[in-house]
Amino acid sequence: MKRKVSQAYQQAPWRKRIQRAALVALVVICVIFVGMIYLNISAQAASAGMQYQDMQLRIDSLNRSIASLQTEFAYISSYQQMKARADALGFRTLSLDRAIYVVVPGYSGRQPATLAPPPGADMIPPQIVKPTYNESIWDVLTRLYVSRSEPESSRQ
Amino acid sequence: MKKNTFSRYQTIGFIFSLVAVLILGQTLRLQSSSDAQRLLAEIKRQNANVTLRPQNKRANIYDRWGVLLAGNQEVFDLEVDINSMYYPDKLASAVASTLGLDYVQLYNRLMIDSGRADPATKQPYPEKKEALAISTRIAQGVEADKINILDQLEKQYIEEGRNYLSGLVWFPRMVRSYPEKSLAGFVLGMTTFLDAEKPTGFYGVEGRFNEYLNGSFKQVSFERDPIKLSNVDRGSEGTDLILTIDRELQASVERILEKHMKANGSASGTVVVMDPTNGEILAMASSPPFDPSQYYKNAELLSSGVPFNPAISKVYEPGSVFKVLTMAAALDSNTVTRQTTFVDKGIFSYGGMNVLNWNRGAWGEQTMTGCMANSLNVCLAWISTTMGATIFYDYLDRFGIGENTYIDLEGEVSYPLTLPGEPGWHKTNLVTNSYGHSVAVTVVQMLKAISAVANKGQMVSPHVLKAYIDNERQYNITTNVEAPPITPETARELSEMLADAIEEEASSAKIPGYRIAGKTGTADIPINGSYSSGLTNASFVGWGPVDDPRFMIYVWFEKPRTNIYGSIVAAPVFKEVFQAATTLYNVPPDQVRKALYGK
Repeated sequence: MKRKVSQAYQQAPWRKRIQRAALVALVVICVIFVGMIYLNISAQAASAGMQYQDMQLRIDSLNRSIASLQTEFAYISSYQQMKARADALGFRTLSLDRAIYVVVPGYSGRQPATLAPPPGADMIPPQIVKPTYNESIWDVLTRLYVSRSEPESSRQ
Repeated sequence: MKKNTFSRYQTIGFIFSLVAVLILGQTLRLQSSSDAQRLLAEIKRQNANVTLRPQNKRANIYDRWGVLLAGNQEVFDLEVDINSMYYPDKLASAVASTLGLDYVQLYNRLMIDSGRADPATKQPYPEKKEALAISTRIAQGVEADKINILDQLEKQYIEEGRNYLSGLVWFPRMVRSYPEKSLAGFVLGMTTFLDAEKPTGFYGVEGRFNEYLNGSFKQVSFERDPIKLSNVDRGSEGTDLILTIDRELQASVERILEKHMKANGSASGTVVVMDPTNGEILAMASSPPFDPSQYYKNAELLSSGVPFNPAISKVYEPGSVFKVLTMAAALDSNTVTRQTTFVDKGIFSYGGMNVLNWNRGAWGEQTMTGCMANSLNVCLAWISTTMGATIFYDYLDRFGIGENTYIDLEGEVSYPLTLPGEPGWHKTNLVTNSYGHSVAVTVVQMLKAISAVANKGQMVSPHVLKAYIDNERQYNITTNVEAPPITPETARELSEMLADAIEEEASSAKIPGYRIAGKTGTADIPINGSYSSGLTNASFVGWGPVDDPRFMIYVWFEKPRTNIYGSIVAAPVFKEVFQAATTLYNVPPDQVRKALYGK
C-alpha cells in the first residue's frame, strides 16, 4: 500500500529525465555565461593593455618630435637668422646718440625666463593602473581561498 | 521494441562521447608534448617582453631669457634585416641615392653580408650561401626628412606590388643640437655622439653638469601580455639649465671681439662681461671661436694639455690691471690715502732689482690717482714695499689670488701664488707682484677680485648657472657673496680714483655720457726667461656706471701685433662692449638716468 501511494505521487520517468537534462543544461549555461563574462573582461583588459603599450611608444615618438621641433624653432629664431632677416628688412643697430629714454610707469623691464613654476606643494603622480583592475576572477578566488585557509593567528 | 530504440540512442551517444574524448585527449597530448613545450618557450622568449630603449634625450640649456642654446634633434639609424632583404640592388640604389652614399660600396656590403657574394672577390655566388650576419647597420644619424623620403618610396613600392625595400628598418634616437652654432661655445662645452646610448659632455656647462643633463633614462622591459599590465618606470628626465648668458649681448661681444682680432692680429682674444653686483656672467667670448656641433674640427683645441676656455683655463701675467688690487690693499690698510703724493724719479731699487716705468721716464710728483692713470710701476713698487709683505699678501689672499673661483664650468685652473718663505719667493717678488708680474691669474680670478672694488667692497663669485628645472619646478640660484676683502669706503674711493684716471688720461675707454672706472694692463710675455721678446698680454678691466655699476668687462688680447699696449688695443673693445650692453639693457647716460630716476 505504501508503495502504491508513493508510486502514485511519483513524477513520470520522462518528467524526471527532462528535469535532469534541464539541470545539466542550466549548469552548462551558467558555466558558459561565466566564461563569456570572463572572456569579455579579459578581452577588454587585453585591449586596454595593447592601447597602453601603443601609447608608450607614441609618447616616446611625440617626445622626440617635440624636442626636434623645439630645436628647429630655436634654429629659425637663432641670432644669425634673425640678424640676417633684420638686416634684410632694413633694421639697423641703435646708436646711443639717437636713443631717447622714457620711463614707463609700471614697466620693470625685461624679466629673466621663468620656464616652470617655482617649487611648491609636490604633486604625487596618480597611479595609472590600480591593483584592483589587474586581478582576474581566478586571482580573486585564489586570494580568497588562500586567506581563508590561513590559520587564524597568521591572519592577525 | 522500446528497449532496442533506447540502446541505439545510447550507442550513438557513446560514440559521440568517445569521439569527443579522443579529440580532447589528442589536444592535451599535443599541448603537453616536448615539441610543443619547446615551441612555446621559444615564442615566449622572443615575444614575451617589449623592450623600450632609453629616450637618450639630454636636458636643454637656455640663456637667461629662455632662448634655447642646446637642445635635441631626432635622427635615425638605418639597418637592414638580412633575412628579409630580397632585392639588394634596388635597396642599395634607393638608400644610396637618398642619403648620398656610395652605391657600389653599399651594394657589395649587402651582397656579402647576405651570403650572395664572395667577401674576397665581391663576385656573386651561383647559389646563395648562409648569411654572414642577421642584420647590418648601413647609416647613422640620418635626418627625418630623408627617412620620410624612404618611407614614401617603400609605400609606393608596396602599392605597385613589390616591396624592393623589404628588410630596411630604421631606429630613432636623439642627438645633441646647438641651434646657435658657435655662439657661447666655450661656455656650453660639447657633447660627443660616439656613444649614442649615453652621450657624454666635456668642458663648459655640458661637462660640469653632465650627470644632471643626462638624467637617468634606462632601457626597460615589460611583459607583452596585456593582462599583466603594470606601471613602467622609464627613469627620470635630465635637469634643464638656465644660464646667466644673454644671447644678444654674447653675439655682440663675439662680433666686436672678432672685428678687433682681425684688426690687431692677436694670437687670441678673450672678453668677459659680468654683473658685479651678483657675479652673473652675461657674456664670455674667446677667439678663435668654438662650434660645439662641429667639435671634431677642433682637434688641436681638444688635445690634452691645451686650455679649452682661456677665460677660466689659461693663466697669464696680468700686468698693470693687477695694480687695482695693490692700490685697494694700500688704501684699505691706510698705507696711503687718496691725497698721498709720491715723487716719481723713474727708478725704484729694491732687493737688488731696479724697477722702471713703462716708458723708462720719471713722472715727478704724482697723486695716487696719477699713479694709476699713468700706470707707474715705480709708484706701485714703493706702495707695496711700504705696505710690507705681510699686509700685501694677506690682501691678495683675501682677494682669492692663486685660488679657483669655483665657477660652474668644467676646466678651471689656477696657479698658486708664491708666498714669502716658500721656495721660489724672493723679496723682489713683493715689488714685481705689485704691478702684476711674477703672478699668474685667469680672467675670472681677476673679475672676482676686482668685483669687490666695483661692488662696494662685496666680492661676488662669477657663475653661469642662473636656474635649473627639476621635476617641473624652477629653482633659482642665489648670489654667492664672499667675505669682503675691503671696506665699502675703500671700494668707493678707489672706484672714483680710477674713474678720474680714465677722465684725466682721455682714455680710449672713455664713453660719452657714462662715468666708468677702469685700468689698462700691458704685460711683457717672457720667452725662455727673458722679457725682451716684444710680445705682450694687453688687457683692460672696467666697470660702470660708477655710482650704480651694471657691467664689469674684462678684455685680454694675447700677443697683439699692431700695437702692444692695452690702452690702444683693449680699451676700445671695452668701450664698444659697454655701449652694446647699455643699449641692450636700456641703461641711459648718467645725466639722463639721474633725471629720470633721481639716482
